[in-house]
Amino acid sequence: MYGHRARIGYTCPPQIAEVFPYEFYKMAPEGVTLMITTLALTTRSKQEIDKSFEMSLAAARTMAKAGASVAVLGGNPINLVHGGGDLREFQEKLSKDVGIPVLTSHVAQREALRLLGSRKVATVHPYESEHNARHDRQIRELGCEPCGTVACDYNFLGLGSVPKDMALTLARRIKAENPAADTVHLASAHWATAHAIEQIERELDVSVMTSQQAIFWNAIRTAGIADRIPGYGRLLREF
Amino acid sequence: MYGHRARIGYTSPPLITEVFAYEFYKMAPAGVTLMLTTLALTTRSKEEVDKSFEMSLDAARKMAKAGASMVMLGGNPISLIHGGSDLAAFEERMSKDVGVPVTTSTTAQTKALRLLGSRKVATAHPYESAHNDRMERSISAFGFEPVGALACDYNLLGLGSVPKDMALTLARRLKAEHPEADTIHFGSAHWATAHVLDQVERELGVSVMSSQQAIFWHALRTAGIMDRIPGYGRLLREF
Repeated sequence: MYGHRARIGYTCPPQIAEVFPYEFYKMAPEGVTLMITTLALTTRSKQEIDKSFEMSLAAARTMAKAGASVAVLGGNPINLVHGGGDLREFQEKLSKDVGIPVLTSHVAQREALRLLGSRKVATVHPYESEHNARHDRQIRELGCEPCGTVACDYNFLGLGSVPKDMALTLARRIKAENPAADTVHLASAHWATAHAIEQIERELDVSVMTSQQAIFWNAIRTAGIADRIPGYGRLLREF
Repeated sequence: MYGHRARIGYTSPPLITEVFAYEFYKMAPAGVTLMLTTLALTTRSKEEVDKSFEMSLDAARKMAKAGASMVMLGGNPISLIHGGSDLAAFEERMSKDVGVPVTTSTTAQTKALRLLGSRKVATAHPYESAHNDRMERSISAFGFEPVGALACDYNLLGLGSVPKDMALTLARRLKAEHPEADTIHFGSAHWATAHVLDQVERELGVSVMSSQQAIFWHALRTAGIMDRIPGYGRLLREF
């Protein structure tokens, strides 16, 4: 089989997955594969979030039966609304239940920020600017101080259309506006960010944590893949 | 965006999709991305097939809205049971309805066999041997003469676990048992086959059509990407 070193299960919140698998296979060492189930989000309504949570649990069980090394439940809103306050406990219970390690994208990102030594985090996200406050709250929930947020102004169906230069352009802007930021967080795992991580770290002298990179990192490390991976930021190169 | 040349929409029958995206990104030229929605199949029950057809149509509409260059509806059983006897008319209606070209994996495979000049087709597939007859009927439905089928004996959840050497081993056995076969067909787009296409063609003096390769090829050409792609059989190299 192609995934002879590790097979990473991932429940992908958008109904249409495009960027996550693309970036996964840019980063993945040979012998590591992605097992993906797409969920129900196209507008992020409460109904879609509820349905996606149920779909995630069913998919995690099926992934375990199909031989996944680990299953990651994607989507901070899904994790936080339904995973309960202590997500680690939720992860642990679910891991026991399905028989393989089950992770959440929320815990992956919190762990990544902790290892990077992040304290003041500026966020760039692909959604409309009315989501800024939600992203600031998320940074607090991830254990850091929010230090500015800027939006690309795309909706859910437009995530794959965000121009490639957007991540770098907005990272430069947010660092100029918030020089105290020690970390730039490129939030959401479904827009083009992987190609810009190294340049942002070098040019702006910050750490970078993207949702996709943190999920990928936490998943492969949990699956026992300890390879240091160059080209996609300190997180994958050093930890 | 990453898919600046073409964005290929694909509705993937297995609830957990692993091999298709892996092989897609082995073959795809830079600037071509996969927009993926996973459907409901875990056992291929009638309920799952019916549900998957409805999910396909919904996903095709959303993919078009999200900017797909074209949409490929996956799954021969889904296409053949629900697309009606005139698949070309179904595809035309769907294309008009959603606003981008919509095609099916059945059409892709039929076109591929025609272009390869195939007449007598031997099939290796990943499922249980109870599916041999169905596979042979598929070849007849494509308009060609079936000359034998061999099974790997895995179920739908096991597709990603099929050993990498299986495709080559079964192709050799099929050709030895059916020397009149001019084409080896690797049925199903969800098991490891892409890595052996060239070798099977060279070593056994046959054409090879794998479901994944035919879907990828037809999608790419429909999206206007005419690059000749080496390493994955005559189909992608010559047509």
